[in-house]
Amino acid sequence: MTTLVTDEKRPTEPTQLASRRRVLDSLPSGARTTGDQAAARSRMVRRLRIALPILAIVLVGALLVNTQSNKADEAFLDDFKDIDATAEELSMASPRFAGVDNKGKPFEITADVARQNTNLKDVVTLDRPHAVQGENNGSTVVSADKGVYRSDQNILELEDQVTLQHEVGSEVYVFHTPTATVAIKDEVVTSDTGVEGQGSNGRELTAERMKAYNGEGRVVLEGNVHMRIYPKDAEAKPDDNAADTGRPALKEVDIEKPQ
Amino acid sequence: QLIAAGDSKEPIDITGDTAEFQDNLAVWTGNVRVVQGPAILISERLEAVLTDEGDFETITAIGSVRYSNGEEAITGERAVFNNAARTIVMTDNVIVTQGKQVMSAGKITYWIDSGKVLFTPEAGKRIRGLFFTGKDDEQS
Repeated sequence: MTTLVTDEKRPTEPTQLASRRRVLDSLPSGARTTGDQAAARSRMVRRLRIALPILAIVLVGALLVNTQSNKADEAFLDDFKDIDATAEELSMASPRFAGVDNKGKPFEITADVARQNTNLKDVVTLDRPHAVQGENNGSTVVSADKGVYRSDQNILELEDQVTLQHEVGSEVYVFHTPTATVAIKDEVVTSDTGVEGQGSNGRELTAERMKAYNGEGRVVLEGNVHMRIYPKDAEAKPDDNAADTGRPALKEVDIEKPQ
Repeated sequence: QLIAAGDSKEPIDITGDTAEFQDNLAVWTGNVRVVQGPAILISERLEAVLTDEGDFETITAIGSVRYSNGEEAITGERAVFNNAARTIVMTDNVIVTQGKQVMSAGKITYWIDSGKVLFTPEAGKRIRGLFFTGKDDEQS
């Protein structure tokens, strides 16, 4: 059947034609899908319809399995069964204890390392302790390689290369002794294992026992106390056998008391 | 120098059973012995006043005091040594011995560097001395 197109239906205006041409041109044009391509796509879709549900089931199963059995965690915990949960010994680097004694004088104890046994809360062992008591030049400085601080008795026990710096008269002596005990509250330093002290100008002071009462600025030495002083204009350490320099030998003079 | 004559550079050694230092006072007790070169001072107790530099300003020896410098020997119950004046003042039953010669007095003042001795009698007593002129030596 043929259709007559009359004049009235044809686009008469040129712009309408051009715009319709542009619309047609913008449409993508690709090759037509061939029969094989369509068949391949159908096959892939059929396979996916089977594989995806199976994958989902496997994932859910794995999740269930995982949450139920915790055999692996028990084994992990077994490895650590005999380890005690609380620490035997606490240690602290560069500790610093500070306080004031009975008379309000400040004291400070520092050390390289402090160790505290959790069963003995009042006992702290110190590596290279250093204690300063008092202020300015009236202070006493004590240091050693090892020390034990007993906080319940406020006592510091020092051993190995103990060094005590203390005023004797108006001069500061540095004493060395194997062991010493510092009673902090009473401000008393005691040593009964022999002390050797050096002052200025080569002065020496030795004794078997020493007690330094910091609060009173007093030092008591006992047992073979020996002090050596060099006269001001003498060299600090003239030859010790000065007696052999031709000086008259010391004559012992016996005196009978007159009747 | 301290107790030795002249300007001795010898070190001064003090020994005793105990020593107590407080401020600028030092007290030695028990077998106290101060030695400087040939000079020696012995007593039961010694109290020393120290200067700010730690030197001895005065020394007081108490109880069985004995001072000797190798030539003279002085004994008594109390002696005060004064470093500035360079003297030892000895009191209470004082006896001075020089070789075989002996003198006793209530109090003596001894100048360490010059060896000069001033005898002062006790109240109501006289100074007594025993001298040898040297002839006895030839006869005996």
